[in-house]
Amino acid sequence: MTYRLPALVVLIAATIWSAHSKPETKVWLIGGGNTLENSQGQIEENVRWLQTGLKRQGIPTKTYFTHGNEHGHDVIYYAPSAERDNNLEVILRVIRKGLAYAQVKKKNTLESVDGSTEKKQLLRSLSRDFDEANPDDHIVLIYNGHGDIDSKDTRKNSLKLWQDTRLEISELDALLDKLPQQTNVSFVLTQCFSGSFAGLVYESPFDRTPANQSRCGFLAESDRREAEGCDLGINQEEFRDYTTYFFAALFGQDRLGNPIPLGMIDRDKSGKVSFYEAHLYTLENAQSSDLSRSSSEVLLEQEQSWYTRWDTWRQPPPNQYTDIAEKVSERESLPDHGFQLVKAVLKLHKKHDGLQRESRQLKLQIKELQTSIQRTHSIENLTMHELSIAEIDSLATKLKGHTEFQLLVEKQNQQEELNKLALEANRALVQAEKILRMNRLARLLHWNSSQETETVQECEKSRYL
Amino acid sequence: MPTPKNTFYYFSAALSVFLIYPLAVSLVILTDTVFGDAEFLRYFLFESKKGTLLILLNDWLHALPWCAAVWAAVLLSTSHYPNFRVNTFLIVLATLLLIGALSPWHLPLILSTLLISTAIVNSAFSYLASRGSRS
Repeated sequence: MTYRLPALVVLIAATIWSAHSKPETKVWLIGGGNTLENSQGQIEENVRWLQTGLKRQGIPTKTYFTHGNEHGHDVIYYAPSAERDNNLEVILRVIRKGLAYAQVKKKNTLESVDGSTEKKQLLRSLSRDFDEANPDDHIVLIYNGHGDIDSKDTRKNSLKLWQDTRLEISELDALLDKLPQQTNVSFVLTQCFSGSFAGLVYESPFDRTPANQSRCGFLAESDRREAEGCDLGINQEEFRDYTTYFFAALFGQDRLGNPIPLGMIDRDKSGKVSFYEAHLYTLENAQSSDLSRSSSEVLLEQEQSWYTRWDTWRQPPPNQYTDIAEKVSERESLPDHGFQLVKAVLKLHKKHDGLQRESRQLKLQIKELQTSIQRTHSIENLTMHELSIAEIDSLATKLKGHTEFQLLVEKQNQQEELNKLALEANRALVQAEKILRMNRLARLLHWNSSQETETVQECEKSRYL
Repeated sequence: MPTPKNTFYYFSAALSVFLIYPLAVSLVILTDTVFGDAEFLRYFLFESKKGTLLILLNDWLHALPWCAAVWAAVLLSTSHYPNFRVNTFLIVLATLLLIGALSPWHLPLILSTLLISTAIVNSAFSYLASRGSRS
């Protein structure tokens, strides 16, 4: 009887301690643009969807987004015509570039935001958070925002953070080094030029010593290409970025709530979906303009030896990448290998380039029309915030009456349609390029896989939510 | 096979090693363009011309020890066997490696083209050496 109380105390303490130190998956969700004008609605929608999905799975998540919890606008999006102010739109059509007339600003409406992504603040917050991480924890870093390129040395590519600050790969690497050595780190980076962040698997992006921690990652694009995912539109049905497919595979359902059969994702039939399987699902199913890659795939390409270069004359050996190439070629009705496929790529290139040329010409015509209307009404240097509502209404009426205004509206609508066509053409082109890339990876996996690459691939295969 | 003793012979023999990789990789690029995914041409046209040249130079450097080993073995063989037999041996070996490239082993094509180009360089070198020794 006398021993009961201390035993109970010990039991409670042990339970609390074991619950506290139990290795678990913890997610850091970093998102938003670097400035208001560059903080597109799709980024916010992605972060919102991830927050919901992670919460449903019971995964502790911290979110850092734009200015944190400050007041003021931090998201810009493309509003449907019903949501726009008609008179304001008339003026914006005449004085602003591109499709700025359709843009609306707002404050993010995310369920919870733990802090800002301004570089200093973010580094401080993450350092504090990482201090609390337990050894053996699975740390997942997800970034939904913009990236910057250093075209002379892409190992210096960076994340574009709030207040237009930059976080280079080496700085992110130094931050991850603060985590205990036994920590398992995964990163899902979906920004433009993200490919170079595969360098995080090394001690430093500038040398080839493997990192002390077990690290692997998934990247939306190469170190020199722009990624999807920063659209002004907020229609979930239209999203085709890396986040949309990768996390749909991990959550077992797409953004619209439609379930994805496990058989479509679980390649090793383990009953669970690993990050690597989610990545392969993305490669197979994303009809986007992204040529996504995992860290082990980047390593495979980097370590290609002289004796395997340009050696593409046979069908690639069968493996997961050949399988994806076959499925994409079947879906897109494209040849799966050889000259006919290259011919298709050249044809798609030509179509895409033609649409881009047309778009550039249309932009010039729009600019000329805008200048002409602005001159007629002497509003070349108009500043919107100086106008009262009555002045806006009166100016809008005048502009609508201008003979060239209807033509301007037609051209701007054409521009919208042309942008959509160009995006579709680019997506079709990238599917053909993806087949070529999958063939290449299939060959490299057969020939080049080093111990280092295999370790990183094992890391990718052993990561789950 | 003449027995040249002059410096020019050794100098030419040393220089010939530099020809083996460019010849071998040209054959690989030809098959890549005609039968394959035209990786070289796409990289050259759409990615980076300078980058492609740098890759070629870097690969050349890495291939050099292998080319030198094969070339040394060929020069040594030609001092014991007739040139025709050495070249026939190279072509037979190249054919076997080509079969290996077509098999599920997927041996790299350049192993075969390297031997073919060594045979070509050997023929040209011995022809020039024999002309040199006659004059």
